[in-house]
Amino acid sequence: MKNSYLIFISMLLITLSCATQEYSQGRELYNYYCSSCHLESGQGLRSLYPPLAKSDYLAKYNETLPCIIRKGLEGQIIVNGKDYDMPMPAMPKISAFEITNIMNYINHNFGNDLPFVKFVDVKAKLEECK
Amino acid sequence: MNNISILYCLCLAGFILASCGGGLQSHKSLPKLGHRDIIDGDTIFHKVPDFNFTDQYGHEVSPKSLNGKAFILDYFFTSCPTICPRVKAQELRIFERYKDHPNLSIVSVSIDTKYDTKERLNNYATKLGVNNSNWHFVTGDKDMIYDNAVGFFHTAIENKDAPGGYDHDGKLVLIDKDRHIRGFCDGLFPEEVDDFFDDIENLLHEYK
Repeated sequence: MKNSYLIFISMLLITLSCATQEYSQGRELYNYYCSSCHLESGQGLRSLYPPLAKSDYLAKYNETLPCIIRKGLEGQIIVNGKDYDMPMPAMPKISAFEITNIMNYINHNFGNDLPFVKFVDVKAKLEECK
Repeated sequence: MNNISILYCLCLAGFILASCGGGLQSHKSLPKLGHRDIIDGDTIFHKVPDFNFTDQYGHEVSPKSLNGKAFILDYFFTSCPTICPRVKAQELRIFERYKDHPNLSIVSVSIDTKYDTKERLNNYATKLGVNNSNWHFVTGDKDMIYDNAVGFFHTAIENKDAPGGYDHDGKLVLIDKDRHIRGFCDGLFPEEVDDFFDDIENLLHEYK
């Protein structure tokens, strides 16, 4: 009986620890590909690089985000009422799998509460933006 | 308690007070870094090379124009997609603290002499929220910038395979008014910059 309690508690702890590590792959990838400009907490840098944290642009263009990440972005955009025009470099080699992980990390961190994205949808979207 | 123990206690208390007081006020003397020569018994310390840049306002930036100020020098370029924004975020911490300081400037040298014109540097500085001539974003003669990099403890190499087209590092180098290098840190790491603040304070204390 005592053993089954221990097993139950261990299982619960494992589940809880997994829950706090949500999107950890996305975090690694974000730190590698994106955090140079958008910085570690998605806060952006002054008027040079736009924030991802609570960004209205991110919410509005979430569906096109796979294309933005892979193809980059040029020209002026308005994020949370502020103008930004530094070009975002393209990342032609980034995979649909990596983009899915990054998006799920961004969409559920930095104070964002945006939809969960699926690999199949990201992959389909990437084919469209070619 | 006999007299000897009272005396002992007083000595101990005095010693603790003295050491605490000293700890609060002491300033470390920073070394002069780099290669040194001994000529006729005198030590000749490394000096950063002479330089003559133009900043985002079109003003000259040279040892003469800095006129006895210490400065922090880094290499960067405005379209750098890798380390520069993170380093700039850390330099902003330094700038915010010292922007009106009479004895310290920041000099950010662009290694993209083709693209980073005075106008581009001005635009970049403005977007970073820097509207003060204590932080110079400079350009200049390409050979001077590349050939002198090592003398400033920096790396600058044109490399078409590198992200953005250039290899360079994120060091922040602290240079005194006599062009001696007195400290440096990797501007990518906030905790290194925390320690760098101590170096800056120690150097500025020499000018008091």
